[in-house]
Amino acid sequence: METTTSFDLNRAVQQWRENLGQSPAFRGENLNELESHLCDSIATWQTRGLSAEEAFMVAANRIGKGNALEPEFGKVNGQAIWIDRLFWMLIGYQVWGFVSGAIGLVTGNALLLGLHGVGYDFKSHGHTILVALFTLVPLAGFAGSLALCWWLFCRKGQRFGRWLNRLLYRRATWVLAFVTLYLLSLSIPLISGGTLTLLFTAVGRETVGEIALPQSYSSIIMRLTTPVVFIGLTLFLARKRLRLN
Amino acid sequence: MLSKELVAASTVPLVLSVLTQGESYGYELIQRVRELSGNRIEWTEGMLYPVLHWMEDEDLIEAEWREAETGRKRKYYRLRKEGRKALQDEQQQWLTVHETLTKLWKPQPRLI
Repeated sequence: METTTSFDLNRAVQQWRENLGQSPAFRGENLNELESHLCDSIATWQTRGLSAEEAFMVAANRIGKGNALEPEFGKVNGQAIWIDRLFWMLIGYQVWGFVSGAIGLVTGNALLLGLHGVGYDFKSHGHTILVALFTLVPLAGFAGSLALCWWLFCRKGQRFGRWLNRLLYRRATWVLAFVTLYLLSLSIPLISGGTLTLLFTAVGRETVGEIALPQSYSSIIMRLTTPVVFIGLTLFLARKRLRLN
Repeated sequence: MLSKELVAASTVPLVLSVLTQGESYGYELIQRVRELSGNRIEWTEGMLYPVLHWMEDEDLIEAEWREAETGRKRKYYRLRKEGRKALQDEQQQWLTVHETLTKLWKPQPRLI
């Protein structure tokens, strides 16, 4: 009796392509060409009497394993791979600028309004508490945004990664993303200027003046701690990635 | 079966030579070489593409994506003028090696 298997050829080809696409050595065009080759080869093996699954296995095997092809494609695509990495670094830099600006703005203003709301006496308590608050609250905001990124990549990693890859696959979309982020990060100083006038009327010029010094102390502390956090995070991710491989 | 080194050295002249017979795509190139060699030249099929792209960068060949009779898109490669020139050089070199080896391997007439 013939056994029926639920082998989905299209799905298998797609999966095969995605597996190869995990490596930056393969460009989108390379994947298109290899997929076209795989389909031609499968069709030939099927006309020779193999089942869809067998034809797929033979065809994939003859093309070669990803880790054997990777260095050869990497050599030809070396320059493009580095440009890609540079693009990602620039996007990361932009996102970081925007996120850190937005978090600083939101948490700073929220703190000021909150403290003013509970009737905190800015004059008599000295700077220590204010500096601690203006450092810890934004740091908590950063930790929250990092946790969100972590969740996006780890829990929803496959889907989110694929979506992001598809989005930034074309250079044009990439440039658009870059310009949008650039404009967004430009809007931060504008918004902070706007909110300053609002704060003047809400809590009074004097109070805003009181927190200016503690705020600049805490921004120095933040600037000192964030590189350490980033280096730590990079090393952690690099180790994690190695273990995954 | 050819050694890895010989496969690497012969891929470019083989591709150039097949393309003198008209444009072709990766899968067909491999089939053609396999057929002509009586199944003795077997490439790891995916390895051909980096070579093709290198040849494209060197202007030896040019490529174009076109819809095939199957409805899928294929990348077709064509020989360029520089490719023909490169093939002449290759021919000269391979013939030199071939002739030398043939002379050496011919039974030598002994004088005594």
